[in-house]
Amino acid sequence: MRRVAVAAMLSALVLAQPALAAPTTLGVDWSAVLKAVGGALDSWRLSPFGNKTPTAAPTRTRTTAPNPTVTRTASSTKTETRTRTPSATQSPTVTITPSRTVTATRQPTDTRTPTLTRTATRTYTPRPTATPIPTTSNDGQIAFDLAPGAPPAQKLASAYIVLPYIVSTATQDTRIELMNMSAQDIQLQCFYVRQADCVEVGFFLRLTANQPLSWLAYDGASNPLAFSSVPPFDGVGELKCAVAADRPELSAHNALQGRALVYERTTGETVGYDAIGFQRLTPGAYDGVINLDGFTYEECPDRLHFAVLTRQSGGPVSELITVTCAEDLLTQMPTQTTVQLAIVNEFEQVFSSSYRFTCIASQPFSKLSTLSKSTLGTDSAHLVVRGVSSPLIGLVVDRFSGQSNTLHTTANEPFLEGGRESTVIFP
Amino acid sequence: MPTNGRWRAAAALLLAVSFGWATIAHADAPAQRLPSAILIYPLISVEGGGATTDTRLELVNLSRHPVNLHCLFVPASSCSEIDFLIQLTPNQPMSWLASAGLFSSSVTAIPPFFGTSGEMKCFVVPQPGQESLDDYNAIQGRAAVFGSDGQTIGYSAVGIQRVSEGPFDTDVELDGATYAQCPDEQHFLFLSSETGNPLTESEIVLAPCSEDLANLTQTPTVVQFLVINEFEQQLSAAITVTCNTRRTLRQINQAFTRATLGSETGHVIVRGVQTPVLAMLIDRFVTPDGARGTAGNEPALRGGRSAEILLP
Repeated sequence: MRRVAVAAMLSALVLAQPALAAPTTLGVDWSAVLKAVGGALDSWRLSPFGNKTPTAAPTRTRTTAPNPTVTRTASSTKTETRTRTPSATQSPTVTITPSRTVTATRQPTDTRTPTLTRTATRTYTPRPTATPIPTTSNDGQIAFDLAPGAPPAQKLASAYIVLPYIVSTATQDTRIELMNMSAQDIQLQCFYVRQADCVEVGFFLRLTANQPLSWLAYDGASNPLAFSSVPPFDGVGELKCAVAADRPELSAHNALQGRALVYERTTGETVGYDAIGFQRLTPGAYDGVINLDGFTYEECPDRLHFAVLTRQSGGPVSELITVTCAEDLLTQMPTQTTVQLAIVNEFEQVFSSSYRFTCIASQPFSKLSTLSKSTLGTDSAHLVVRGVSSPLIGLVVDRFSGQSNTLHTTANEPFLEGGRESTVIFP
Repeated sequence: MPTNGRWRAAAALLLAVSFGWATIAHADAPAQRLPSAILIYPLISVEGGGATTDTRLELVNLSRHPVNLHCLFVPASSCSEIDFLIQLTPNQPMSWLASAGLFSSSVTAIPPFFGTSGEMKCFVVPQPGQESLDDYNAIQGRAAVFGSDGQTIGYSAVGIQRVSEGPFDTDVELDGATYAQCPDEQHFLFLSSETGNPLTESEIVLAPCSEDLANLTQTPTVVQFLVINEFEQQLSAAITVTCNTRRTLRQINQAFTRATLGSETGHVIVRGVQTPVLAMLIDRFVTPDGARGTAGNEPALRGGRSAEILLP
């Protein structure tokens, strides 16, 4: 069969030769020639590979390829991720995988300090969570057995800090203190975000080597010689500052620490606390997008643990301040999240509670009935706090009665467990 | 021979890398606010039997297994020690008043603390055979010192994590290999001392990291202070510390005063010479309306140095 077809094709070609040489003059019947060639090819195609269908199949599959392409359209969703980390991050994102390999090698880069400690941290971070939670789901629940990731190591020179509680009203003011822990000048990009409407006010500061700086939130500050100016703040809010390093080295990023003293003007009731700091982990340029992903910067803590005093009936009321880690100040789209609370009393009994908020919240213990002594039965409690759609930064303002019922107020900073990714975008 | 040479080179490289790593590890400051194996409370104060000043101590077990603690209170007046045991069930919080102590179970019995001030150290002692890092790094704590005048100093205990598994030893080595090291430098933001109005008079509390509580032998150490004002001008001071010490900044040196410093805020770097020290500040200031404010002021840490604590 195969030979016959090939012979037919060859004969057709031979017959057609003169025609090819003199196409118009000899008046060859081209349609017959083409038909013969086509038939030969057709038969040749059929016979040698008996599985014509399979051959066709792949072709069809390719035709079907558009579907996979559709899947790629889904991939374009990932483009959103790129959108999140605008242009600059896009390229690095592609490079990320390889880079992480570098990170592994870079643990030594962690050289900066926390390395060993951090490795250990990752080992035990999970435990606390294991707590006594009744739930088994890990979908946004506070109750997982393990909180993955590593929390930010605190009290070290950082590249990004957050002061979650700033008050500037007629009766209360805040002294904000920042210090440069490095031997080189640094520039800071800072934003004050007001609780009332989640609107931001931005400003730049320059600190010379080792320079301390403090100002009152109600008054603001100005130093034309240092090209620094801070507007007065208004109401209750949070302050975020990032080191806008002009060099890619880690030492140029990790240089900042800060604290705040919130005080009542007439009574002197004071809440003094340290900023939550995040270190930069990989060298690179500062671009206003702070990826708290455990690769570029340290991750946000997954859970906050507090040792708190329970509310006595008729006694002063403590407050839980929570701030979302993720914040898009570029498009002014405030982050909203539910906060889950697990409360353990001294008898190891577990209670829970939750509330929802946008950007910043001050939740008095009086609104959380599970934090009262009448419910818990003990003077102190272990409070575990977790944001569902965004990790949180938080602070408890402890208020209790002392000798002769005097009012005492103090800051209560959290212990951190686990880590979760989030992104802060500065305009 | 060439093969031997290569092996030697490789071994030398490996050694160099290991040594480099070790050197790097030795420069680590202890990361804070994480579950720890040792807690140090540098300031505990009881005056007038608690009627004038008292301290509420808080401990929390951040793990889901029971934890046994060996704690010691070291009064500043005598530099001696009182030790006691505490048992915490999984996730258990616990708090007590230093003036009253606590008697809660057959294991946990905390005596009332006497003397004007002192420090407390607590060590996680795991059960034999359960000596993983998870078994060690389990606790956190804080304290609130409060007076009848309404002044309150709240702070978190300094946490030291265990970094290698193994049995608990009364010779506690904060060397970066067994436990994390003590901080080398401590950086504080402080309000400069001022006598007029507003009055500002902050205090500093210092405690050496190394302590021989088995033999009660105290080794004095010099503590250096490098003070930097807002104009980047640098001043320095030094004192000698034997055990827990509490002084106003003005008592240490005039470098901390507004008149000398020329700015409201200063940056002070504290460093022990013979042994690393732990420090905390007590911010005391007067508001523009004349009210007195007080707050605990914890340091930012930089670098690490080895220390040793000998327990009885």
